[in-house]
Amino acid sequence: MKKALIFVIAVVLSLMLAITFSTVGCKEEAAPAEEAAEETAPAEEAGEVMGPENEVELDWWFQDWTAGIEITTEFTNEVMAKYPNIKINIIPITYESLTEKTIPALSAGTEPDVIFGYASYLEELDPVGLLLPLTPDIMSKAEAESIWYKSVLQQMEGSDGNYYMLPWGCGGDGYGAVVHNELMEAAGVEFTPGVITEWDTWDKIVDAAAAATQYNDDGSIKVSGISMDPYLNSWPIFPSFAMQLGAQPFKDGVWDWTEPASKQAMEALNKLVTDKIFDPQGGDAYTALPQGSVAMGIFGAWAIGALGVDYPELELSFTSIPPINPDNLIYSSLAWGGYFFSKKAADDPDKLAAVKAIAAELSTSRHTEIAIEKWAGLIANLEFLEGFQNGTIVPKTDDGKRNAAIGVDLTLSHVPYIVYYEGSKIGSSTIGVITGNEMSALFTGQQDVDTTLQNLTDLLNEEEALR
Amino acid sequence: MQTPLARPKRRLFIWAVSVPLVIYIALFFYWPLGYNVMISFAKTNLMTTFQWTGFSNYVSLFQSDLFRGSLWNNIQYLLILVIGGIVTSIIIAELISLCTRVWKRVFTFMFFTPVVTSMVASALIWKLLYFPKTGLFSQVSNFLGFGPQTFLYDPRIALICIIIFDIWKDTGLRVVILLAALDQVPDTLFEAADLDGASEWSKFFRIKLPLIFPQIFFLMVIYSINALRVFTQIFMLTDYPGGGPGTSTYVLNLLMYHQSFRKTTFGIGASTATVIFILLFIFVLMQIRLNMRRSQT
Repeated sequence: MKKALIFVIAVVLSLMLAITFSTVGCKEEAAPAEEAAEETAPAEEAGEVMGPENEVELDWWFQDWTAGIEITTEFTNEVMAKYPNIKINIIPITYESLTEKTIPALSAGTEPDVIFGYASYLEELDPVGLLLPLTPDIMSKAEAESIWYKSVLQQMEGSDGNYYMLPWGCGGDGYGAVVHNELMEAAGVEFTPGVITEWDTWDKIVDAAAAATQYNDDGSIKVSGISMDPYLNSWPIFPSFAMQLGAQPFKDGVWDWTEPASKQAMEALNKLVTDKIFDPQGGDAYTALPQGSVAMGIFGAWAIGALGVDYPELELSFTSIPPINPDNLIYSSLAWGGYFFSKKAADDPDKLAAVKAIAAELSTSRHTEIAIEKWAGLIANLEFLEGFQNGTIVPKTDDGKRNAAIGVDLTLSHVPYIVYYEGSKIGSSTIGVITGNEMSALFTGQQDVDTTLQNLTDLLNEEEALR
Repeated sequence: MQTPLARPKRRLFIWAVSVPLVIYIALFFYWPLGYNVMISFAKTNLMTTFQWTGFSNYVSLFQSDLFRGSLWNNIQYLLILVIGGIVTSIIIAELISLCTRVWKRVFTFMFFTPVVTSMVASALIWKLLYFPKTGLFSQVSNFLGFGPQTFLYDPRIALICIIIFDIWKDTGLRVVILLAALDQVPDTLFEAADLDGASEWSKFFRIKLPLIFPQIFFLMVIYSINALRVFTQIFMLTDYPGGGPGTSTYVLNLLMYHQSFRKTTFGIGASTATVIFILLFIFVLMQIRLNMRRSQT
């Protein structure tokens, strides 16, 4: 009896391992790059997009973010009204779960039809064979590049030369500062509330922050003039500043952050700590700013928009972060948010038609028009940007007008100058975690600037070798 | 009189009961374990890359300062959580056991409430309590003349602050287990000790503690395992993406999470998971052997 039971266990385990061994690494081969790159959409020519002939139900994962769900619900309701055969189920998933579930779901082939996510999830992988390509399956490359910034599409470019993400917007990085009007005014700092344009150099930002800093009797900082959360909100400031000052951190497959320009950039940021303008132990800026212990916080675009929503009673202003060297405009890579489509749609004509209809709707300025009422961020849609600039698109509410002004200002000052570390196998998420940790260790006194830059170099080279 | 099942029927019954169980355990316990060990010898992102690399993941893991730092943080976490948690719980349980029945219930309820509160909700509240300058703890510290403290933002004490939260969170559970054990100690032993003129300290250390040792041992094992598996507390209490300031509160599970889900290096993440499993296995074995030796003597 015992022997038989052991035999059953052994057989079950062996079968499982055999199945595992036989399936791992046997993903479908990618289509050759030259074949796909310049093809146009096979189904429809430019013009009216037809919805599915039969009723089709699509699952749509979306981040469990209140404003985002409201935006998506309003948008999908419009899509469903326009295409009666499409039914969309929005499935809210927390940010962390979305990150953790996307890769396993794609790996197992259990992904939903539409996934909202960030390029950072997948930019280290080759998306060929994992997702339905945006080009040429949904639209042509030329068409995509006429709707969105090419640099944005390139973040999710496969080895076959096709694009795999339909972009929405971007945030989560240090590209703007939110100003606590009351604290700034109390310190006698002059500025025009709203979208501040007069602080057009890094030195002016630092001067304003220094003037707003308040101290306790023992000399410790009571109110930080400026605050930088090292990872989520502000880590790209360092590579952006370093490259603006002439650093070339990734050359010939090797990372090197020890150049003088990189040191100058890191010292400029660390000076905020050594000059006692920024208290790195004063708590995260998102919480500290509304509590009045931070006068200006450097935030990514998502957080800038969210602060306005979460604290409507606060008088806040916004300024984009100016370059440290205006003669050399370069900004570090960002993780764009957008939509991925399941490759399963390719096998079902109705689903494919539905996905195409959704993509067509997402490609118009309408999606951003809905979004901008509740969100501020870098905007990928060129039609919206042009429309807002020439006055043909006017947001309905004051919040929408403010968000659009912030978004357009951020986008135009940064997006055209974004560069990627060409040839690197590691993506913005990995670079962000490592850079953020090292900046945090520097600011909290665990290491000096030279050690920070050496660690950064070593750790990024180690990561490169692991891929 | 019970009629025993006929031999073939009995055999069929055993098969019917055990085979689903075996399949369940194999499917949900041993297969993931085996799969994890397998990919720990490969360079893989689980989707487009799979390449056998032998022990190279383990070599780079053991050469990594971050791995060694995380392991050291886990060891500190374990020692402080187990010793601090159990000692405070014994003291609280002993004090509660001296109360009347009504107060016993009141105190037990008070201490047990955090146990049934969600870890995430509790962590978010403690994050605000610990918040520099404006948080309650910082204001109390300031009021008492120690100046404002930065707690979770100070790399020297951030880990200790998280452990204190963890000790607080589960004190109620430990107290309930120890209280139940203390209630089981026969009164006759104390009466005999009184006759012998034993002091209260002697009675506590020579009668109560040895008699509740099985429960203490159980708690030691459970909380050692918890300390080696700690993740949520650190992830929630420190700023996104967790483990800060810098990497001062990184532990093995957090390292594994970052390796797997942030960096998509699932091979090296799996090797970290295997190391955690082996450490847990050795640790629990050692504790069980120690307890067996103690029982024999």
